[in-house]
Amino acid sequence: MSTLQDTVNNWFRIPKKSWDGLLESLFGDKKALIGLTVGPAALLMLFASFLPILWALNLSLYDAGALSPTWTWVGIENYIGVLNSPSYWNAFWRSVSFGFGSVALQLVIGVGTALMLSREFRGVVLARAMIFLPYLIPTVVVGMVFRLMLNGNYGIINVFLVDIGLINQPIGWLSSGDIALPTLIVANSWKFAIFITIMVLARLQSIPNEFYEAATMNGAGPLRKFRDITLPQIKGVILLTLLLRGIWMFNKFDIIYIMTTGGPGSATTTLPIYIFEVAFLDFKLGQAGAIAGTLFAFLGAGAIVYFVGFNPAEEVGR
Amino acid sequence: MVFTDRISNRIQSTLSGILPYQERLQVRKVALYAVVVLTCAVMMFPMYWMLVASVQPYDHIVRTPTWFPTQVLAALQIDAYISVFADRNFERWYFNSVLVAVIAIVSTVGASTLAGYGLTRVQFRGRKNFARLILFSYMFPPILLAFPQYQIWRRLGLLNSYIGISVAHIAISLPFAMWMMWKFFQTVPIAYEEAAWMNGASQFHSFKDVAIPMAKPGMVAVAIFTFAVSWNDFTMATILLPDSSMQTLPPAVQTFVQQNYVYWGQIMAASTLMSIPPFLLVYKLQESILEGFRTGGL
Repeated sequence: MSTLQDTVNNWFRIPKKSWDGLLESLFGDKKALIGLTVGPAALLMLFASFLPILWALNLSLYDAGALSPTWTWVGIENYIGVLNSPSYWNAFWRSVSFGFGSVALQLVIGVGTALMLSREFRGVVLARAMIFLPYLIPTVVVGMVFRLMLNGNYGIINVFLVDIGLINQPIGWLSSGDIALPTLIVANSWKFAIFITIMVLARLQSIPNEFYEAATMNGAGPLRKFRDITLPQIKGVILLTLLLRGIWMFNKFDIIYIMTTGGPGSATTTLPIYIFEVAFLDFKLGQAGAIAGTLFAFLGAGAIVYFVGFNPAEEVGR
Repeated sequence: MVFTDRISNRIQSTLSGILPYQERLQVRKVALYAVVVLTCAVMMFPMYWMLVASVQPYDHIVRTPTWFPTQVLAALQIDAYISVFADRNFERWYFNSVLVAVIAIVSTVGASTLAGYGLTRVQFRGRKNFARLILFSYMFPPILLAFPQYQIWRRLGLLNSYIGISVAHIAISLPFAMWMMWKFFQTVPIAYEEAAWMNGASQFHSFKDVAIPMAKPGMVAVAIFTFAVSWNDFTMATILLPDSSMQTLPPAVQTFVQQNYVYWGQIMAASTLMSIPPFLLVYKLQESILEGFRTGGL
């Protein structure tokens, strides 16, 4: 009996020990340690992120259609074609207004909500859960619920606005070209303002209470406390959020595609929707690559501002 | 600035002139609660409307709605829920979504924890540039990645595969996760590990038995973040999973919208079922979410 047990134990013990020993010796060697720790992440990012970007940039220099298997080198012709097309610039300006509008609205809602939730009151945990929820709710859910609520014939929003006397007759919020984009901005902000709320709230919670106590001792009112303590403390996170959110909203695809698919007409065709149409409906891969290339250039510009303005790597010393 | 101070002081003194201190506190409290309740109502109303629509017959949904739940209760039915399971591949889609999220979470947490440890505990050249590259990729929007990923995945046979879509999700979640773990390991004092080394423990041992247990809150935050990315993703799933049986929930819900007919009841039932995991997470783990954002600082 005991011999059998020993044998079984040995089967499991020996590999485990040598496995541990292997890891131990690898962790002991500096080069192997670097490879073992940073390696998996670097490989994943290379394959999942950088390779596709390089692929798209390379593709943008070719005339490539989905139907023809061969790519023909055309240099920057795709870029010239794209940058000369009015529909590109229309989409560009729609992206700009969607981005700016969303960020402005989200900033107001997000910071206001964060200030509210940073207070201690009974039920604050429940209130936070209710307010955080939209951030984790899938975009497709948000998009579809808003489509239902904004419908011109049976949407609850129209019923509400008529009831309180703001409008006289129901409006097709997503089906009329003039108001579709502003409507999208509002629906989008309902979900994504919460990101700013969470970021600002996390920052607010790390402000030491003594700051406020000292200010109260010196006779500062609430406004003064906000200006002299709260605002300087959250200024950095707000600026950072403005930049990152601005970039993300400029490049937002999902909620616009879900709610309007770029319509009516092309009233909500922003640049990402435009990429999708050129790549997957017109099958002009090279041109889609060129549009992606221009988006990438905007990101690069944003990144320069980010690294110069915030110097994130410096902040993380050691 | 002085002006705003003067106004604020004026309001203060007027209020204290009218009301005694205790009652002033009372008024403030009521005002705060009013704002909180209003905000919560605005945030929760779409969820309420989704629930209501999910238990109503189609012809109730597509007529002028009523505010009061009496008619809602009269017409209550769960046909839409039965239908998403009976007529659609719903359980398959749900399984796909969960599996993809699990693969993404395990890989992201694993890779970001290792990387965070390496970046704080080992000095090597190019570390700063590595960090910059990661942060730069944090700005990539899904559509910018999904379009070329489609081209590459097609050639590699990764379209319609769990690995393909998980890797796409990792591309979005890993940069932020890595940043979070990097910052998190800086808050874990190296002294504990040094103490372990003094006692003869190897670096691997101190990593496994000292560093990892202390980094757990960060890992939880990263896991939630990755879950949110994966469970939310519409763009990449739409492009990289063209086959209906391989779809995750978000693009699958979109297929309920057809040319002349929108299956509202089924959409809302599916949406409700998709909202349950986020709801549980946000209620149980909001402290971890805040903690993660606090240390992440992004």
